[in-house]
Amino acid sequence: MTGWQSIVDLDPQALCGAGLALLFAAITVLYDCHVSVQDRLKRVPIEIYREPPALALAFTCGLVAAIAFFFTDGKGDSLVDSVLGLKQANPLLRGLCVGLTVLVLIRSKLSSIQGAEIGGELLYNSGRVWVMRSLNSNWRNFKNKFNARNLTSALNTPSPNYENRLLEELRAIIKVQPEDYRSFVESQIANVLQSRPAVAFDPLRVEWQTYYRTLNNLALDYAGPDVFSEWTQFNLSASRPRLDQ
Amino acid sequence: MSSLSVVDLLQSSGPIALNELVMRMSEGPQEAVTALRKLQSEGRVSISGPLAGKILSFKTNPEPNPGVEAVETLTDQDILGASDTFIEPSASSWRRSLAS
Repeated sequence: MTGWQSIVDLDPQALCGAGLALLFAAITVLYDCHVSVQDRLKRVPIEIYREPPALALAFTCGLVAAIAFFFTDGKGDSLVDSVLGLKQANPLLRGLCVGLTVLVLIRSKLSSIQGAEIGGELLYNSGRVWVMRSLNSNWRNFKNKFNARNLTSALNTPSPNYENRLLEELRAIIKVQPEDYRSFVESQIANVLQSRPAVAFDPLRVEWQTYYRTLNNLALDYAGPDVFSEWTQFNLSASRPRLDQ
Repeated sequence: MSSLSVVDLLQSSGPIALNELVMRMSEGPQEAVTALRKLQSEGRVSISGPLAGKILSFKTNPEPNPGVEAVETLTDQDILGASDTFIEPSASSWRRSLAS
């Protein structure tokens, strides 16, 4: 058993290789999570490396890579060795290769049967779902706190001046986004404007508060906190960097 | 007005209050709740909060049935005031989206 012998012998080079496998696998997973999140929550300011669920998933996959490393010896005798270690004789290079390729093994078709996820793919995707749901929950909390701090200030600017300015800034920020993204946001803007309260503007009325809150959340979702950066009357102290502040 | 995919909207906004979701959708309150109920029965969205149970038992145009207790109804007022009922994509919806 090459793997267990390497662990027991505590070969320093092998340990460094395992460390590199863990590190690069963790970085790969964090990057994968970052891409998944940014693909959906495009303007949400997320530092993925500071999110505990993402770190836990990255560390777990890193650990799998480190263990897999001990089952490689650079000779390419086994499937793990030839697929992950790329037959690299140098333990450090092999560690790097294992770290960068372990996700291929975890997410390979070997771990699914007729399209149904099993094993590593199931666990990995469950981990990513956990990360997404956690980030979404933090984002909701952030928006709630933002509105708790700033809704009164927002309501000091009567409608339609408020939404005109806010939507102008939202559109300015998303103009660099693809056409379908802008259309998606524009549809929502049109729907919200259609829901504008029919009664005269009154900051104390719940309808107006809901309308303003919806506009704020729409702007935050698709333009990020930067959309309010020029609004001096707003308290943006917790806009960055953590969502859970 | 173009119709929006509710799941796309939820995946790009995170959990959202029912009244805000309805304002951002092109459907009216009753149609929106019908759509949400269908998505919930398909396991694509999760609903939490005081109106979650009512949405689950929500029926459009319930036929009168004298022998049966009336089905709980949601008025437009209930829906547009529902700031504490939250809608979010379900775990299986996320899993499908992330796997594709």
